Amino acid sequence: MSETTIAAGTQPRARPKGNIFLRIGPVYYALVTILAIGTISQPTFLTLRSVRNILVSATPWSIATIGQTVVILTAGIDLSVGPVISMTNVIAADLMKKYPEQAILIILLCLAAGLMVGIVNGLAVAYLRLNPFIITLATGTAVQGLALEIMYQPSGMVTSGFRQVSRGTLGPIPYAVGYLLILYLVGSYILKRTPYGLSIYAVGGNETSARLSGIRTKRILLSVYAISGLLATCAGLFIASRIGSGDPLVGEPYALDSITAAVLGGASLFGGVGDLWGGLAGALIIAILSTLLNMNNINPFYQWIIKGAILIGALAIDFFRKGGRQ
Amino acid sequence: MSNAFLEMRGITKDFPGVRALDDVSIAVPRGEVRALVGENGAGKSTLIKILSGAYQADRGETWLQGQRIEYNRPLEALELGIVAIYQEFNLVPQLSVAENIMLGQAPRRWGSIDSVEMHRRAGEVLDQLGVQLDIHVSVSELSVAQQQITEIAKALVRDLQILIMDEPTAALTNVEIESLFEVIRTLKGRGVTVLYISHRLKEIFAVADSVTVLKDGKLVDTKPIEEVTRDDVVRMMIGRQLADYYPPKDTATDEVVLRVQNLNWSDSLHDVNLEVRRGEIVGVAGLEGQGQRELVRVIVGAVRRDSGEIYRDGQPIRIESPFDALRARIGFIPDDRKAEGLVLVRPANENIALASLRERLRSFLFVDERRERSFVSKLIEALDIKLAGRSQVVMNLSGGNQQKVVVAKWLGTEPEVLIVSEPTRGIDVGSKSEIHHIMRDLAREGVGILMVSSEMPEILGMSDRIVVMSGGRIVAEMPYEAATEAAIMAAATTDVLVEESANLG
Amino acid sequence: MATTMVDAKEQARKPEQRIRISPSAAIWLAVAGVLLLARVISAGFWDMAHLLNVTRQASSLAIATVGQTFVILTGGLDLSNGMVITLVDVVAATILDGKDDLLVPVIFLCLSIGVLVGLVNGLLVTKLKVPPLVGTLGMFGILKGIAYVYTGGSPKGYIPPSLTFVGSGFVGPIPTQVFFGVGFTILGIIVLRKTSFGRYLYAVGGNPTASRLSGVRTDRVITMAYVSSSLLAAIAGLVLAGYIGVGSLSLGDGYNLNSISAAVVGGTAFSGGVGTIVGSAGGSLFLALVISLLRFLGLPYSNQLMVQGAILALATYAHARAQR
Repeated sequence: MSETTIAAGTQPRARPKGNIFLRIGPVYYALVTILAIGTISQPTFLTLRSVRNILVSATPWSIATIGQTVVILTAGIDLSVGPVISMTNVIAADLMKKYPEQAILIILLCLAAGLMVGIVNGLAVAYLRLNPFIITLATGTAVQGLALEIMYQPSGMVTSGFRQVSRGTLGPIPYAVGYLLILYLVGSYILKRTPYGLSIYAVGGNETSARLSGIRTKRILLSVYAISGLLATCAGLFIASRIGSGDPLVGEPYALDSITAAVLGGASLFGGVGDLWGGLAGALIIAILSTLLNMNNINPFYQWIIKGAILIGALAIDFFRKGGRQ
Repeated sequence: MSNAFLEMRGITKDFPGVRALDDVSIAVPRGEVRALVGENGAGKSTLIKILSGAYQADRGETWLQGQRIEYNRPLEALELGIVAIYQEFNLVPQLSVAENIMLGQAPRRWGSIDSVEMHRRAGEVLDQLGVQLDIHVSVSELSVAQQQITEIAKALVRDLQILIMDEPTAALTNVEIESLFEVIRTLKGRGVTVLYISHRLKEIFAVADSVTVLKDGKLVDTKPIEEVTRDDVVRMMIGRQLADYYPPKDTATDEVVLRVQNLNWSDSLHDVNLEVRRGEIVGVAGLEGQGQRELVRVIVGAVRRDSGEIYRDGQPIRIESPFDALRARIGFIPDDRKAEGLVLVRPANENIALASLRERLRSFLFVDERRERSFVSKLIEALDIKLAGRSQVVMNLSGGNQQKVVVAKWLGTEPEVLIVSEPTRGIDVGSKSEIHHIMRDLAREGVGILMVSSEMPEILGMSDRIVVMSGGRIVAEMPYEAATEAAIMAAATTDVLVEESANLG
Repeated sequence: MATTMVDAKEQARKPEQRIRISPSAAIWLAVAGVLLLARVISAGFWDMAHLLNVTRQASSLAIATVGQTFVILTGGLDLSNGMVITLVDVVAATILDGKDDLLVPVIFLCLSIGVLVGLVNGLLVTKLKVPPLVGTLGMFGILKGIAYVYTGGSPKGYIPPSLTFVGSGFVGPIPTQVFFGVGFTILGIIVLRKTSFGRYLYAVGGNPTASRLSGVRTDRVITMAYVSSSLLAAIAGLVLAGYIGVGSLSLGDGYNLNSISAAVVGGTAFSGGVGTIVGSAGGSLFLALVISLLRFLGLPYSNQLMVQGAILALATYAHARAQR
């Protein structure tokens, strides 16, 4: 039974042993490195204003990454994240322009829509046992179509009150940082300290064992996709608030980028390994990268190459860390 | 109606081509430790899989505490307090020991996991087992023995009525085995009923209250342990004339076709030296997990040895992948045919041709279909493989026919050395005999065969020469005329069951 | 009562009793279905000129899908092939700039790009054990960056007549592209069915461990699959370059996901070891027809996407059901 046999020492560690430096995932070193590079090349890099901007621009990526990480923990993947973000963005912008008094209702509508997409994904993966890649690709495509249907060209406008969601600050600290902290702290707590969180890791690590231990694996799978959809919606709302209008293609890079951030942060595509903070570090790296390139007047196109190389590099490093041949 | 605590009546179970259990009935009083013994294929595994809900019996009933119980899934059996521990572990490798032990049972406090309590309970259970284990470490870091302990601890945490153990001590040291027995005695004291499958008769006599012997799917007898001796049990298990079944041993020559020298690999092989001659069948015997599997894997290139030499026909050769082994005309029939021997989703003819495509069945880059057809047909006929058509997908064949497909694949490569691991595991009696004859015919044609087997009759019946492995070394070698089960067992158990032995790990 | 229920269960379990259509046949039936549906809904669809154009779309997709099918058969996937198409297009347009002089070296260069990308993908997957999703995704990003940097964001140059003949020309009444599409599809069928490489693809995808233990050099087979995919993408890129006539940074957009969809809809299983080129070709044609039909009906791009998504979901579901 190749699924349940475990050869000692071939899986990544849940709580790695060894001295503190080995235990920290490589993504944190990468983050520090990139911060160092930033500071050296641009003295204005670490100013309050610049840090604030980075954090705010990184917020939607970071939010989407939470959902993606949770899905990846179950050995799945969610390609509909980008389209859901786009859909949410255009729904919010379009409706708020037409009915500015109903802002709250519109927000709720968006959340419901994103949740529904997540539930459809979850049902297909958990109960119909369809391949997550294909099914989220399918729903993503359809949702992208829906977004374009609602708004073909960028247009629409959100209410000024809503804009405060992304622009507001509490003293020197933007609300955005607050959102991130809350989401990450709560999310991490749930993941690491509740039976539900433990079940997610169990389902990703060995679904059969999880089932035989009484865990309702189908429900867990359904829930993680629902969460991803919900969080993608939140990211979309944040973007709507930030840019102030709707853009049906705004979410395009988010699917693959959230996967990149999660994987950079140490999540394994095979499931059962990973945590939110690594994903956050990954998302920050990506956000900082764009900023750095802009600041240094480097051709922004190099971004793509660097991102691709980082992604591959992170996994290659992981391979060598595990001692080469497996 | 039933008086016994646990009773299984008239259990019958068929698989395609073989009747695994035939009207078997057992009754076990509460708190008794019942050993279940029998050769491979006797039906022990099937019986406990039915009890634990992994299989459903075709006929028969199960009674617990006077109530008839019916369940279709292991989960339902778990709820009834029936827990089975197999040799394949049911753990989540990425989670820690404590998390695995308490999986599905994690104690809560206000919605979140009470981590302190969880670790406390996990530690408690491990204390009962008398084992030291870092419960924070992830299970993938543990040795096989430690994982097994975790598995046992996991079962103990539940409200246990019946604990089923399938060869639990295969990878444990003396000290751990004793601890396990202590735990079993503790469980007994608490009224838990234990079903214990093992090949190791010494252990059974040390821990069991009674023993049930199965043979060829039928119940032989059930007796209290005080009323039988080891020889009685062995006789009940085997009880047949070997001579009738096995082909005559008339093919061995003196020409050495394979030699390994000073083979070492990680913790599992130490300084192994071995020779196989043309026409000879060398049987590798020993308790499970003593390095036989690793030896095989090193010779066929599935893993790279740490040191040592391999010689073919006297010449040293480099074997770093199965491709190298194939080129050296070494064939390999693995013990796990489904995972390692067959591509289940492809048809039989493709499977049979797979190893020979490169050398025999090609012109330029193309598959010579005509040659392939006759190649495959000849092999199917020679081995009498029953197919519903050459393109039948291998997944649907019976165990015996599947094994024959694997054998056919390797026969087609015209090997000069054949490494065979558990050639007749899980195969019905009829096909077993066929495969044995095929092996001897191969030897007659000059092939040297190295056969690893955990079935004593097979070792004694097929081998021209027997080597015994223990602790990763070859501890004994004997020609078949001098070999008896007692001698083999004695050699196989020298390192393991000696009092105060050096710790093996 | 009880006996009839049991009988019914027995019936359901006997696979020989159900009518079985192979996935490859099923997709071609679906193609026929779409064509008929199109005829019914809108007679203009069956206009010869229009249909020929659809076959063009299908051809380039089919070429890329052959390679993608090889990769999926081994249990992986290739997300970088769309970018290979784009890169080849901009390189060809920039260097050739409308002239046929350097045609042969440039073709050689483009094909080499394909081979190189495939080699890197293959090595990443086999030697560094990078999951294919991540490895080809990273490669996608790298190639995109290279394409953008190379063209500075605005591609220049034109595609010379020889290639435009391939991409938008005709041989008699049939578009030249179709010859390429059909040709490479047939090549793909032959490779998969008749060569040892094809057999190895199925075996490695179906059970890499058993294949390796049977002496198959699995690393080589997998790498060759990725090389095929990128090489075929390069070819598709040249053909498509001829079709649009200029360099374009969005030419290959969607080809990665579409080639995967075409393969899956045509019966190739993500788990590996199952699938045919016949099915994938059907999948390509099916997708091209559906997209074209939607466009023809005047449905905006948005609706097209929605329908595509729904179809992909349904097809996956249908295949999953059939395999049970």
